[in-house]
Amino acid sequence: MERQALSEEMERTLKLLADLEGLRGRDCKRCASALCHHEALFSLSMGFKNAPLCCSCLAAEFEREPAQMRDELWSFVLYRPCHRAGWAWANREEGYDPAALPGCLWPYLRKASERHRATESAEKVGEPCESEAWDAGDMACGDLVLELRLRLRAMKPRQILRITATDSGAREDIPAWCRLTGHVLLAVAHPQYWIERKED
Amino acid sequence: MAGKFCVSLTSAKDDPDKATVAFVVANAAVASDKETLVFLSTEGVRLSQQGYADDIREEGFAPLKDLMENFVKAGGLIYVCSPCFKRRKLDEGKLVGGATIVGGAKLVEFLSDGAPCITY
Repeated sequence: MERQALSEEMERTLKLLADLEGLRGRDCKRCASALCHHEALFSLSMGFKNAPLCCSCLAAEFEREPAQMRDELWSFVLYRPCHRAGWAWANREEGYDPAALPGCLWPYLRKASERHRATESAEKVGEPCESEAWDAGDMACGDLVLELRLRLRAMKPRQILRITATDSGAREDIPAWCRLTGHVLLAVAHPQYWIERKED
Repeated sequence: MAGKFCVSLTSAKDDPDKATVAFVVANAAVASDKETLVFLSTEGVRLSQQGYADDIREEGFAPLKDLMENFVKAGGLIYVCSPCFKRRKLDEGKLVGGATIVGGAKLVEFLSDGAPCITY
């Protein structure tokens, strides 16, 4: 039974990768901007295989803010093995570290009117995201958030820190701390948390 | 009568009188439509374990187990201090209903809009 489930998962992954390949070079059906591979994956996730949309247009379709749409879709991707494989593929294709948040969607989304062809270099649309990672181990409570505060203070606004915190309390504590301090919790897949440093 | 109310409890079987009265007061708060939190820390975290409070019954009060269950049924929250829980090597799989393991930031957030807090 386990082998069968694995085989089915593999089949889903291969199909998704083939669909992603099929969307290579496609434009957003609505605003005609070039789609990055991550946006192609988002479109597949939302059932827009035949009429893929960029993240901004997907957000408009579902009446959400672009950043909210991006974060929700990213969380969706993280929890599905075949989609995670698609995300890793997209990162590789676009030259990003497998564990990094891709600069095409972070630290900010481009407005549709400001978007360029994918063939243009990333630096034309803003500085690439400089993600940092910190393994906090089982650090907890005040120690954890104090160290977190220091680390984020040493970073630039809108940079993203990926923190690994295995303590059970982190599930409640890190989101609460972000709400208190104004740093943006982009996504959670305990024990990993992605936090965007707030503006000064 | 909306608002928040926090009861911080640092005792368990080392002072069953305090543990009991803390939940009596917490029940009074939740019955008064307050968003009520019992924060268990230091020895108090032992109360987060199923079965631990079963034999605590102070004269003149309802059994602690009943007080705790009624508190949660009425919508009360129980936060359990994570480092205190860990250092006592308690079992996360045996948490009583309504209990959540948290760190200090979660408590700070609850209290941050000026909620009163009473400590036992």
